[in-house]
Amino acid sequence: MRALLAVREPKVLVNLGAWSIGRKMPASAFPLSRSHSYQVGASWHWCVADARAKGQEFKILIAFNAGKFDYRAWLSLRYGNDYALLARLEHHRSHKGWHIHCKRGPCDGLVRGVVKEPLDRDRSRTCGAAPFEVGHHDALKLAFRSFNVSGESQFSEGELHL
Amino acid sequence: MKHLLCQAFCDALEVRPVPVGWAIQTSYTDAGGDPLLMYLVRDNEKGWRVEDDGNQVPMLEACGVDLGGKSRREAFAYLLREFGARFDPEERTLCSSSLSESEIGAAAVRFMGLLLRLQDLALLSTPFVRNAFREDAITAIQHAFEGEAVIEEKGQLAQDMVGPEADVVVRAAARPPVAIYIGTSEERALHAIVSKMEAQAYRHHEGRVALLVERAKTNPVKEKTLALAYARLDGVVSYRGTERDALAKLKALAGLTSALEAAE
Repeated sequence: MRALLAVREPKVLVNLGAWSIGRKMPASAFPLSRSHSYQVGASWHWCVADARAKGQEFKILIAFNAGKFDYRAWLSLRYGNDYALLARLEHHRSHKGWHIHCKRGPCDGLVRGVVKEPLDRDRSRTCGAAPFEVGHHDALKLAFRSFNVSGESQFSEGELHL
Repeated sequence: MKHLLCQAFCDALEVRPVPVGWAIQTSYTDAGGDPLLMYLVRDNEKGWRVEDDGNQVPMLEACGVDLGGKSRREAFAYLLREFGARFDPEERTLCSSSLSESEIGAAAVRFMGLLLRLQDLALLSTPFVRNAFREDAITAIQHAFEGEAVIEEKGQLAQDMVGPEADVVVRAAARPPVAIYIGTSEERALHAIVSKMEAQAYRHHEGRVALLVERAKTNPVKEKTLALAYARLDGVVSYRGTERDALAKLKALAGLTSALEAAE
């Protein structure tokens, strides 16, 4: 399956971690491979969710830094101990504003364990200049809508908010 | 001339307010095409500091750059010293020391130099290097077998085979196919061994399975796995430095006259 189709594939949320801030993200929270992971710092609000579709396991990192108007929602596909990062919905305080990066080509051909690949394998699309107004609830909604994840209603509001 | 250069540098400069201070965008981008941003953050009532978005070091680590290793740790510390910055391990940010307003301009230029130098470390990360090897090898195989065999990327020896696909399957007329696994990881070498077992023991196919590693000694495959590959596979071939011989060996495995034999 191509990466773009995997991003659009309807997914069901199977686990939603609690929001965290004030401490460095542990290495085990969002692994990319057995040896390395992505970790945001203590100023970031972050949580990790797991979703499934057609027997495939996905991991989603949702993180934002309200002080810097920075947001990221990353979708990865699990291959044993390795993960292929399929897409990144992001907002930076730059001319790009809201934008999404999506890998090109079949999922099986993606380099696993890396965030970025060369530009010819990473398409980027600007999504607009909407102002940065993100709280915990919005951060999840944005990610789940972009990655076609449903089933968040089974998780209580306590898990959706701090 | 100076006016033209100043215009080129400054036209791309954008400064936007954010809750912690100011976001500064320059014309430089990272390897993924995202702009390199730095922030001017209110440090205390009188001072400021320049810091990154908190993404530069995490992204390097996510690329497989181990800043905890001795040589990289020293290189990282050297860069921080050279550009007058420090790394906050809890916040995961790179930042300057406390600055007065008159010091901000020079410090910002110096800080951007640090961000640019850090980008180079990502290019040497293991996954990038491994991927470059895979691409080089597949291109070379395609050229070597052009007109003599059909090259199938991401394929199986036969339709009834299950399990991890080979990077390349070579199909020459009236000869058994050759599945080539490119040894970019321990996992790929194990895939080759499993594929050979399945073809031989369970499916009874005549196809051959080969493992192509980048270098004979320094490669990501563990010694035990490599020994098993030597014992069980139809060929284990080292590529770098002996590219011509390696491709000749693969041609021989495919039952084709090798380039070396033809030349001789």
